[in-house]
Amino acid sequence: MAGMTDERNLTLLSQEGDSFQVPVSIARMSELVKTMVDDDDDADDDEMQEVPLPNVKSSVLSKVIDFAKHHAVEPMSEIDKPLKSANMSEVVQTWYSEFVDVDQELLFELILAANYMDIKPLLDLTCATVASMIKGKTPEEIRKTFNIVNDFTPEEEAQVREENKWCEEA
Amino acid sequence: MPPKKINDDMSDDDEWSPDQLLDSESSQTTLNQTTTSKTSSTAKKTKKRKKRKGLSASNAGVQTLVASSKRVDLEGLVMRCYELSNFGNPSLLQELFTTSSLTSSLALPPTLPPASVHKAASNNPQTALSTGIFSKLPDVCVLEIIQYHDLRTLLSFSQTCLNFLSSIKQPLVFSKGFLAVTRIPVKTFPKLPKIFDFSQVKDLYLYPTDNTELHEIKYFLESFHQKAKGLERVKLRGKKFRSSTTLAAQVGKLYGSTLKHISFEKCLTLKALAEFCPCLESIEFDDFDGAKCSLPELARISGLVRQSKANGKYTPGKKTKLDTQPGTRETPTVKTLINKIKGKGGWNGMNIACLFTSFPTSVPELSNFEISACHYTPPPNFTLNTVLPNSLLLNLTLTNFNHQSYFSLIKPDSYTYISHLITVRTRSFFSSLSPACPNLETLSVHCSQKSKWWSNTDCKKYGSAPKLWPHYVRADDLGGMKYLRSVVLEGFAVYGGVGFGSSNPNLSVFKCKCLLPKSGEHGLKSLEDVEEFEALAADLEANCSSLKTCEVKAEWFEEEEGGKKPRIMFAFRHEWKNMTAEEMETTERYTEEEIRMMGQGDY
Repeated sequence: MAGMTDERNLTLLSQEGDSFQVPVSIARMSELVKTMVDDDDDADDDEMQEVPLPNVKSSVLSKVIDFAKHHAVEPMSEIDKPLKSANMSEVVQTWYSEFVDVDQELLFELILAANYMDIKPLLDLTCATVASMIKGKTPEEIRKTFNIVNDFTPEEEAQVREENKWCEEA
Repeated sequence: MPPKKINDDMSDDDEWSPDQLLDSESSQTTLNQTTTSKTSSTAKKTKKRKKRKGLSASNAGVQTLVASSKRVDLEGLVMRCYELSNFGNPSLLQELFTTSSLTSSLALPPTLPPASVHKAASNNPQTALSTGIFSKLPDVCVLEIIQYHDLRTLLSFSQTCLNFLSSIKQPLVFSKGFLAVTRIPVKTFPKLPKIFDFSQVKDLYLYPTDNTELHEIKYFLESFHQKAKGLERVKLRGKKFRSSTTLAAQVGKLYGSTLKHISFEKCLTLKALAEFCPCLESIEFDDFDGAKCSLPELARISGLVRQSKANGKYTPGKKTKLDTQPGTRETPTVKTLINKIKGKGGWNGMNIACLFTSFPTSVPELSNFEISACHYTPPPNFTLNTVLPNSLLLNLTLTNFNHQSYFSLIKPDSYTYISHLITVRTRSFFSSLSPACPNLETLSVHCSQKSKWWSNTDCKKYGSAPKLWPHYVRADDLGGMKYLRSVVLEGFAVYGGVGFGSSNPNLSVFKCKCLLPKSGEHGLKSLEDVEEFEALAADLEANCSSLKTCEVKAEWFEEEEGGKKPRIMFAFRHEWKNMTAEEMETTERYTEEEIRMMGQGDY
């Protein structure tokens, strides 16, 4: 019957060595974990598998697991490209918009984790969130938001500004 | 800002930057090849130093670490990295690999699957220099972020940092999603840096502002065509595309040879566009109501497309023979013709009736029909089997299958009459579906049960906008469609389930969800009770061996209090929830005689 889920648990080990027990069905949202679990199918069923994730901090892994668990209950709606709004609550369901309402550091950690663990919906969500932080801003505002160093010489900047004047006028 | 020198205390000969250790070109080669990059020319080093002038302070430690390794052979460096990874400071190692030009694949644990290695190896760390927090992101993520941008944002972003663009070795290929062109003058699109590669773009979402000049749009279309020649889907929005047939024709001339899908607001310009689209498979429109030419136009367009195919390479083929064995026939979709129509609109029930009438003749191969906001208020004696005898229709989705145009006018005292009409007409629709579309595989009909059209004045006078009674459907009215696999009815109260399962043996999904008023204060009573549900469930369970999902949910709402309380939920295998025996006893229902009388009602 459809809807049958894998009720086994496995252990995800964070960078700090903290262990997180997660149902296999949830953990398999990560293609990385899925591959490792599938490769290890011959292992003793009674023995709980451990999957080391040395690139993911505990705090980030905890968020990732929250995401995967919620996604199993309420799948995230597809995010339109380009973004229709800079307000993420108008782009995805409320839970997901609140999920990414975090500081920049954590947001970028989540992107790295999503990329590393190969979780496409999470990568989509986090990248779209960064994109929403860029949307509608001037170059100077973008630099300020992301702490980007302006490496244009005054001459170069003047030239680029002139070339793209049409964009600023819009 | 003065150029920032890395390791100023080092001579040029001694300097060994991360860039040189492994630049982006060598990042995917072997370590031995990487060593060669160390011998790159002094001129190259100088250029790279200049590019690094925006390096963030947080990277300095990493730079020092790498620089201190300058005399260490690569093998030693790799070993050191593993030591860091396993015993030391992994975060430092991560930073080393993500911010320096060392190949990112080194940073991956040996257990990573090939796919992840590939992803990481595609990083171009040079891109990240000078870009602040973006320095932590692999290029693949930066590109992912950029994909969400419209053109204007893209330009703004590209102006934030010189190195962001100039250091990118590989084109940023836009290969998915739409490219939006919104709220900007589009005439200078060709000035976009060549690093942005649109050649793989399949979708164009064009939404010029109302005050954009026509010639500007035309100019953009031409220049975009130079960058993206394989468009398959266009979505055209805005005033200009509603009214200008010449503009639509230009889109057709430029992109028509590859277009498979057109999405537009009004039907007015469709003809001009579709004439040039021999590959067209589907159309989508926002609103066919209100445009006087809409329906005949749609019919003609469909004819035009088919005619153009007939004149060209297309030869009308024989229709797929339908296998009489349930579940084993081939899908009778003729893919070379329009087989999917999706749209919304239609406040006037006559339009819906006309739509149903026009498509069977104009698009006889239609297999997917999806209409939202279809306020189905057909004329008397209108049944589907007289207007939609489409044996090839496989998927039918009707959203907002409402009679809300009535509810926008009615007040509580006329509920009973309206509800009566709803029941009669809905039954008429469903009972005619089986003979009209005998090969239907999926049926999805949604109706809203919340009145959205009450004005503020109405709300003040009568209270909050009412929840509407469900449409009532007899399950066995849907019987006889032996290929039917999925039925989803939202806003429908279902009853009369005996015989439904046996006449729909291939059913694998059955979902029904509705709100019910608690009592019949306005003359409407609940048809649902335990017996009805159990009969339906037993029938399905006994006759549909492939049934995987069965959900019948009903929630009662308290009319007087305005709130709703979930009372009944039925799921597969008779799992009753949230309903007390007392509540079940007080459930009122129509008798079969009453139902029969309703079905004979004259409207």
